[in-house]
Amino acid sequence: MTRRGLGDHLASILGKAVGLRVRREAFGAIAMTERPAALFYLDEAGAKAMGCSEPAPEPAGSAEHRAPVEVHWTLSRRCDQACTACYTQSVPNAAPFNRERLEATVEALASAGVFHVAIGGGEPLADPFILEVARALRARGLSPSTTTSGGPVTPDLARRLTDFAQVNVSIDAPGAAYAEVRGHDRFAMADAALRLLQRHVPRVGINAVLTRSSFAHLDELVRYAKERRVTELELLRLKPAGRGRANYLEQRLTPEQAESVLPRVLALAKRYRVRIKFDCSFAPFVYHHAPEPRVLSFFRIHGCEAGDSLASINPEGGLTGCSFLAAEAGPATVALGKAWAGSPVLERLRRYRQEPPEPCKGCAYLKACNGGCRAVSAHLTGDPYAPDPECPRVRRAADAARDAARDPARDAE
Amino acid sequence: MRPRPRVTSVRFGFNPNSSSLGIDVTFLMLGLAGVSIISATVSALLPRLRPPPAPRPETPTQDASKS
Repeated sequence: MTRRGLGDHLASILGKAVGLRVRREAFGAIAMTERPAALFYLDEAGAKAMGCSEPAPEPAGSAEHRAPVEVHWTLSRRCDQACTACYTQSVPNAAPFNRERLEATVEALASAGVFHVAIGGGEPLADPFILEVARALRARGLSPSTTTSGGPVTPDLARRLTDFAQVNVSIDAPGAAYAEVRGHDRFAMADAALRLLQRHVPRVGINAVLTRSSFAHLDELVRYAKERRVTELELLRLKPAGRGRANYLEQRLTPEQAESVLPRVLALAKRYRVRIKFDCSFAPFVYHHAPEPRVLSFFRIHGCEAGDSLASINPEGGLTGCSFLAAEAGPATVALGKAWAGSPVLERLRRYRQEPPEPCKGCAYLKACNGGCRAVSAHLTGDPYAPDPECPRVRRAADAARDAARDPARDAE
Repeated sequence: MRPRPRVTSVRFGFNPNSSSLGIDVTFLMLGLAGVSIISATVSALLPRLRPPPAPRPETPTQDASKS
C-alpha cells in the first residue's frame, strides 16, 4: 500500500470510529459525528478536503440547508399519561403508528441526507413499532433519539434500545414538584426509568418544561440532573399548543422570569457542572442579554429554524416546519425531496428574516432569532408570522406604542 | 495556494426532544476564546477523516432455485 493509500485507509478507520457522515451543501458541507455527537459546518475548502468531489448543489430556495439536518417524527398521538400541557393532545385510545409508512418515510429521510431523527408522540416507547422504526433508521445511517415519560420503560425494553443514540426522560421538576406541571405525580416512575436507561443507552438526558411554577424548582432540577449524572438537561419553553393552550396564560413564564432565565441557568450550569440546553423558542430571552454574535453564530445558538435545518412529520405523514405548526408542505415522502426547495409553506417560515416587521426589523439578532416562536405568535396574536409577543424587545415596543396611543401629546413632543 | 479548510460553525449534542431544537447555551461561557480554540482544533482534525460508505437500502435477494 502506498503512503497516500495508507493515509486514506487510516482516515476511513477514524471516520468509522467517530460515526462520520458528510453531506454536501451550497456553502460547503456538513459533517456529523456520533462520537462525540456533533455537527460541523465546513466551508467549500473544507468540503473538498473531506473528499466531496461532486459540485456544490444549488441553494434550496431561501433555506441555508438543502434538506433538514434534523427531523421530528411524531409516530402517533397515543399516550396514557394525560399530561395537562401535552402539545399533541395525546390520548390512550389513539391509533398506533401506521406501519405501512415506515419504509417509504425512512427512504425519504435517508435520501434527503437527514442526520438526526427525534421520534416523538404520544408515548414513543409504548408504540408496538418503536424498535422496528429505530432499527430501520439505523440501517440507513440515521441517528434516532427519543423522549419518554418513562412509563413503558422496563428492564427488558431498556436492554433493547440499542439503536438509540440518546433517550431523554421528561422530568419537569424533581420530587413532589413534578405534579405541579404534569398534573399527576409520577416522579418515582420517571426517576426509575432514567436510572434503568442509563444502564443500556449511551446518552440519557432530561427534558423539562419551564413554567411559572416549575421555575421555582430550577435549582433542585439542576442538582438532581447532577446527582443522576445525565448527559444533559434540556429546558423547554411552555408552548400554547394542544392541551397547553388551556392554561397557557397562567402557566407561561412571567416577563421577569423570562428575562432572568439565562443568567440563572448559566450560574447553575457553572455551579453544578451540568450541560444545559434551551429549546429554540427561548432564543429571544437569550438575545435579550446581548451575547457576542460571533459566539452565537459559531455554536449555532439560533432561534427558529423551522423549515430549514428542522422539519417535522406528523402522525398522518405530512411534513411541517416544526411540531407546533399545522400547515403542511405535503406528504413527507415528497416534501423531503424535490418539493423541499420551493414549498411556499416552508419558504414563508424561512423568509421571515428577509421581510420582518418591526421591531424585529431593527434587531441586531434578527438573523439568528428569526422572530421567536411561531407557535407563541400564532396563539397570542392570531398571526404565526407576527413577532413573538413575549420577546422582551417586542414587549417593550408594544408597551411604548400603547403609552404613545394613550398620550398622543407626549408622543408629539 | 489552496485555501485552508475551515469549520465555520459547530453544534454539539443530539436533540432527543421531538418538539423543538435544543441549543446548548453553556457554550456562551466559553466566549470568543473558546470559538478560536475549537475552530482551530476541529478545522485541523476533521479534514483528516473520511466517512465510511453510506448504508444502502436492503434489496431482496434473488433465489435462483425458486425461479
